[in-house]
Amino acid sequence: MNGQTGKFVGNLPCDPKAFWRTFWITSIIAAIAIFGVGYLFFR
Amino acid sequence: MKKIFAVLAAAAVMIISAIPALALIPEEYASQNLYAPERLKPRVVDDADILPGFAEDKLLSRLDSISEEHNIDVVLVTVNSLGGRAPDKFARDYFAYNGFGMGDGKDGFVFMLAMDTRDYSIQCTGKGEEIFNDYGTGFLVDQMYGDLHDGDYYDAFDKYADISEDFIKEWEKGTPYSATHRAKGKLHPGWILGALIGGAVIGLIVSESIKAQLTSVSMQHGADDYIRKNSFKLTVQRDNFLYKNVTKTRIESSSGSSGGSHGHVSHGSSGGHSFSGRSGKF
Repeated sequence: MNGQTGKFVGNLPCDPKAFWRTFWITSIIAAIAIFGVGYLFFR
Repeated sequence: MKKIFAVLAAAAVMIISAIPALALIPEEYASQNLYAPERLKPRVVDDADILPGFAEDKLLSRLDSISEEHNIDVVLVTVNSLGGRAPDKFARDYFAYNGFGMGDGKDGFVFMLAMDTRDYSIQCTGKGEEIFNDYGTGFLVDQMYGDLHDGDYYDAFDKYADISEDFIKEWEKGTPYSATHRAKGKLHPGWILGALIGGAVIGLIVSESIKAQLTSVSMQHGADDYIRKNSFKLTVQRDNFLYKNVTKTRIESSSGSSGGSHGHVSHGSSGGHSFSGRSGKF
């Protein structure tokens, strides 16, 4: 961490749980949205 | 002698194959172009024998109940051979000369399937023409086509009953389905797979882009960051055209069609009543 600016520089570790949680939440919302568009406009 | 025998045999085969089709259309009315005064056949006739017995009974009771509830004859017939008639003419003649149709307008419609030539035809008369206009017949055929093509005849005819009832109800409300008031069909199953794959791709892009923010140092393949902005000045600028490339594409003339992608719209009359509908191959 830069002592003057407070910014982190470098390759910071990633929390796998947070990564997959974000993945699943976004995927489910996107899938529902795509299906909803098809259901409403492409039948 | 052999040739004569071959011709006679061919004629005999044609006549024999046409007999069931002729039996389906009463000659006493067809020969005089007279609309039969009363209904002569049940609303479901599976002459081609492509439906199991229980399915035929189930469809018959379904079409009977729709027809009697709404006073619109909903008819279904399958045949092995058209007996030399055009598909749309066969369907019209079958409806008229068997006395189908309810009320003075002989309201109703018939869906006909011919197995030897793989023809289908839907023909509507009276109020049936308002219920299933060109858009309606196109929609119906589009919904049934996949099942007919795959040989799932019961599923196709089940859809025929469902869609007929839906279209009749909408017509009774005073807002019949048309090109400007479209009916809702079933969503293609591919949308489920597409939504799952699309959702997973979007989820991966979003989570990876968030993860990428954690890496603020990366290998640089150049020294662009060290170049002072606007320090590079061109004193002479010139465009030299070395090649000429011309691409020509023919504009295809579009052929007009209305309401649906399968079959063609047909009009005609039988027994003094006008019919309109759609015919094609499955």
